[in-house]
Amino acid sequence: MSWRERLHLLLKEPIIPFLMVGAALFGLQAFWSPGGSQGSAEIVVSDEQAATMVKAFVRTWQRPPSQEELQRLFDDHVRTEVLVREAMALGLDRNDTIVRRRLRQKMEFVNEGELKLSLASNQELQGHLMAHADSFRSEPLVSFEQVFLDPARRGDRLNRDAAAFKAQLNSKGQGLNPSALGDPLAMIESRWSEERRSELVAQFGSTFTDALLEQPRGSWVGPIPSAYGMHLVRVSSVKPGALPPLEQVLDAVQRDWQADQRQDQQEELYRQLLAKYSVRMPQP
Amino acid sequence: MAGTKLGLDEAYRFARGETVTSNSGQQAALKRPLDFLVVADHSENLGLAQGLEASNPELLKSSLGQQLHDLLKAGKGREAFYLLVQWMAKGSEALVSNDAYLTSVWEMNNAVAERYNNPGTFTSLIGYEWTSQPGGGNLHRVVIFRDDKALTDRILPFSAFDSEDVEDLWAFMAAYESQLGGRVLAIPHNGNLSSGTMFLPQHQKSRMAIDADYARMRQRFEPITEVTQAKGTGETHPLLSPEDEFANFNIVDNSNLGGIKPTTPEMIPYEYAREALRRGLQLEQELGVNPFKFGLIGSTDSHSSLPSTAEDNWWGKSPALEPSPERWKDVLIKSSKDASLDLTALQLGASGLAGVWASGNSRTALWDAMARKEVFGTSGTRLTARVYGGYDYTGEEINSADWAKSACAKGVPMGGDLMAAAEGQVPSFLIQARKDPDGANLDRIQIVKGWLDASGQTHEQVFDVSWSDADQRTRGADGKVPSVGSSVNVREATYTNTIGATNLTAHWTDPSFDPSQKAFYYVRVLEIPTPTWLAYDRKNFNLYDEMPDKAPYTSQERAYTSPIWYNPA
Repeated sequence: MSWRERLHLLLKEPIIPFLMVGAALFGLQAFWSPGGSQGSAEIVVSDEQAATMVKAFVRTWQRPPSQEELQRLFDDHVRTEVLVREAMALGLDRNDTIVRRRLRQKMEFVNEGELKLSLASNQELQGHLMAHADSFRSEPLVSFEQVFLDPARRGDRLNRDAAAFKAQLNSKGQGLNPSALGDPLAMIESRWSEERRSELVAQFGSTFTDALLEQPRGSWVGPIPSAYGMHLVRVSSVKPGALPPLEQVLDAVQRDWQADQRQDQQEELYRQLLAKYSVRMPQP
Repeated sequence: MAGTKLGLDEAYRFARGETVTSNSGQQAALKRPLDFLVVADHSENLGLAQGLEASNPELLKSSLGQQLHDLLKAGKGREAFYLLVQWMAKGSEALVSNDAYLTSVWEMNNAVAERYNNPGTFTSLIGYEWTSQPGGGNLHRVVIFRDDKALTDRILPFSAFDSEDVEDLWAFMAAYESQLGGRVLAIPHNGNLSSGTMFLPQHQKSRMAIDADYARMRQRFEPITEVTQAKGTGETHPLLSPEDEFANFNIVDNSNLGGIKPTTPEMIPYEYAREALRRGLQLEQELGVNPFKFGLIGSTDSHSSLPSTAEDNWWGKSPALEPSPERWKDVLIKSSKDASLDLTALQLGASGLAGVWASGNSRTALWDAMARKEVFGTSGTRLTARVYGGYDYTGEEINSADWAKSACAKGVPMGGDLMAAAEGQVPSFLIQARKDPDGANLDRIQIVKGWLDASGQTHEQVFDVSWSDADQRTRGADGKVPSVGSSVNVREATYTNTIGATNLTAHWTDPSFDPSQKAFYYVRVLEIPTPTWLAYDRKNFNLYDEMPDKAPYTSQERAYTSPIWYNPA
């Protein structure tokens, strides 16, 4: 089988036409062949290695390599091979932290990759959902309005002003525009609709958000403190967080379940490998 | 991921706010989750097993390979896995060319990113890091894709092994866009460890002066630049900005990233973003295109899978820098030449973050905002800053709750361009800044202006435009606002928000505007002084006897917005 035929077999992607053009460009005779004499160490760039290099090139550049580029790839490969062999002969690979980490990483990838994790049954997924309810529960959604009172501006008047605004807002109800009262607060809206709790924590801080959730609905209350100052608030609704039915979070649960499975398999693999060794270590 | 036991899953889980076990076995969690994350693995570690995905004849030569192959093709992945486990447990056979059997690390990384991408709540952008450092000078770029795994799987990341020349990286990016229809951008790391090369207006290989093509490619593919991260500041340097009393912030520049070459004064102008923005105006005059027209962000550059930036909750730059009584003594980069060139833990900051003004929390929305430079960077604090520039602002807009809407309607956001002013028009800027709800009050808002004069020289000036306690803190004879003071107790590693402001706004009109001069304006927001991670460590681990008396125990954390450029006719 010629290397081009093998290449054809190896590469089943739409880039094949490009590759064949590329292959035609350099031709079989241009293919690198080892020149080492008998007895000396030999370096062979195999057909498969050549194909791998071509494919990597195509995936990087979205086009086949020219003859010169291919030659450079081969030359570079040979250079690496020579230096790696010499380095290993000198023992440079031993006790090298980076080499050891790379090897460890490669081992850990062995059980990944092509191995497809099986899909869980609905029953398994339901069980997983219940067991990890906290990670899947949706956040409370809060709808409210707020009027900011800046202590830096109002000082001692703040509490008196707050009481007056609150009375105004509660008596005039919808007729009054809350954003006309109070002080500006950079990049904070006065009206919030079904906002996630975590977003409110990010904007106002957790003290305010926790207090907000405790407030009665429908009327202006406060002032309650935030990271910035004091706020009058009117909470119109709080949709409590809930555990969604499996159908709604099927993909997420499946992913989570597989992540667990992946981890279990990694652990299992390690356990079996570890069993081949007896380990002694100092008391930590 | 160098040296870290934790992987991609832990990085995403940590970023989403979950508690994970750190590399050193401690329980680590952010105070508040991040909204998005790019896990940019060094591409030089990728591509482990690219190439021959399935039916590799090399693999099929062995009976094990044949069995695995058949099981996989029959959809029996689990059985194949256990077969492999048994085989490995026996440990009799060598791994042959089983690289070929594995899918690439790149695809795996993409798969993990895909698992955690949850638009609206948490976005995982697909990207990697191109780790070019010729002679030890840091030219690293974080490459970020707009696209999903389906598209990014079709490429292999271009690595520094392919080429250390950034123009080759751009060629790769151009090929990705033109051949596959995707979008990709690159973000240079802060330039302070680059031996004067990050913003050198020369071709990397030939050292010839750059041309318009270079400028066009750089502007197209590098719309934003990192100016703050754990390894120091890339905004400006005291030598470049002697008038800027806040320029001496987290300067890390004894050497380059390799710890090989000492940084000399003539390198400094080519390492810092502000100077590059200035030179960009000059080069635009010369070439017709500005190569250094970029927005500003921060990022962690964390190598421990634990991206964190709070001084009192910093999980370090690398596993050795996780909280411990020893970490302050760590040497991140040990110079082979001279200990004075070491990059030591004492120099590191718990920085930084990227803020993005996007229409939503998704890959496309975030990427588009980065491409249009509507971004800001912070030294790790979650303070928020926004600026618009235009000719028609009255200043009233700033007090309205929907100011951004009117500001945008009558002007341009950060990262934008102001076109030539008509007769009598002067640009003004609407700026808002708000403190981190879990953090320190604000000291001041500043505008940094750079411009090109008629003789081709560039200049810069820093204006204080809004500050706390303005009734008591009046400008001095030099036109500068006096220091905000400090509430830090260094020994106890505490501070109080008894000084500073929770939020600041400004409407600022350029007092020295010349409609014929190219210029840029960006905003810098300073917090009041706070303790650094070193001060917290000293207190928490009771290291008063060991740690030096003098060290960077306090700092004024800050935010930088992208510039707005003024373009004369």
